[in-house]
Amino acid sequence: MNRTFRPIFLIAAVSIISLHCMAGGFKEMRDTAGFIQQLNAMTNSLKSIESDFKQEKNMTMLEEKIISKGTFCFKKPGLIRWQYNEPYKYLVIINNSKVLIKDENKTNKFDMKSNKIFRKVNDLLTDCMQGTVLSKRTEYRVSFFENESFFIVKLIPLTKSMKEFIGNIQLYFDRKDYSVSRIDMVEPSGDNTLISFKNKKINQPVTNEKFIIK
Amino acid sequence: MRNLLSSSIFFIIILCSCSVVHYNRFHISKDDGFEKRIDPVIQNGASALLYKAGIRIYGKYVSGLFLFKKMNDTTQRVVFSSETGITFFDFEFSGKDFNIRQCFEKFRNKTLISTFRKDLKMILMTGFHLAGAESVKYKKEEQMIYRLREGKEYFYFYLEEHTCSCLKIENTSRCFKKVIILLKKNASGVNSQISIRHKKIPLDIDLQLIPRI
Repeated sequence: MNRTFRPIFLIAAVSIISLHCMAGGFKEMRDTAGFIQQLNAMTNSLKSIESDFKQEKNMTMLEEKIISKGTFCFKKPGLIRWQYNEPYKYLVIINNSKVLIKDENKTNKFDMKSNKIFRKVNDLLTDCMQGTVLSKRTEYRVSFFENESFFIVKLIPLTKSMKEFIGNIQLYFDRKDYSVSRIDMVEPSGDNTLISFKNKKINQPVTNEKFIIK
Repeated sequence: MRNLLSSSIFFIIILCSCSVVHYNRFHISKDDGFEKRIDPVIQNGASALLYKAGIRIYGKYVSGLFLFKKMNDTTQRVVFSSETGITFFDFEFSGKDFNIRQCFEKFRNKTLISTFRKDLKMILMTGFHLAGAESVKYKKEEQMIYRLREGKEYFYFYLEEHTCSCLKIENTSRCFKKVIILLKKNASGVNSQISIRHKKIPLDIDLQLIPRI
């Protein structure tokens, strides 16, 4: 690109992104440092999360959304249980580096170390839920927005392997308790998957039995 | 030399017995009714169908969601994604044309893509010269069987006699069965179960309809 036009292009691009966020009721975050401080405090005190979730996949080729529902459970350190109950059964348990995936037909167990992509996706989700994703500035370009209900953190992947399937991720943090309320994963094609968490129970006792991989 | 000759003859006999010799006893005749009768997976009434998918490939298992979407009269899209929403591949079929709109690096293998392409082409009934179908009759068979030829390969479509719904599709070479696809309809007449079995490579695909779209 011509050097004269480069700054103009950048300003235009930033303006378009800002306008887009403003149109969604979001504006640039005023106190980013304060938000990061509060998020770190929440992250440090976080022991567990239990929640229902609703997943909506929006595809440009499809008028209807593909909706699935289930439960999510996280316990420090490194225990995750994703359970899809509707309209199909699908279970993912992550117990540190061990993974169990169970669908209606088969149970699959493997070590996450052997599956680089799965590890990356898992790290991303865990980091999002814990709020620790902000410490990975070398992997994502991070920008901050807010509205009356949420703080929003937009992550644009910088690594080639992540760029292949993620265009950007928007994390919606609840203003009241700084927990993640929504994760919006936008694919390079523009299709997106929005996961909304409801009925969150934070730091309630969670038994380890939920994460047993047999 | 004698031993070599006899073992060669034996080998040829074994080869012949393993072939789709079954079809050699069929009576083959031209029939232009296939185009009118065949009832593909994506029917006029259902513009999009969502399936839970299980793929067993070379000892590994991948699960996800298969979305079949009829875009217009000639174009159909097939999207395979993970349950968590990540798209693995997005293929577009338009007559004989095939377009890869998106494909995850792990699936970007020429052989794998051409295998998926052929499997999906059979299910979608796209890109075939339907007018060139031949009717295949065998005295013991009660099903209607139609055969399409493409190069050195054949595609056999087994239709239920009264409803004309497709029950089975077979892809064969001159001698061997390569792929068998079994289709099962639900009460609404939609294909609720699709099983794809490969005979030459360790690849099985099972699709179970998710009744929602």
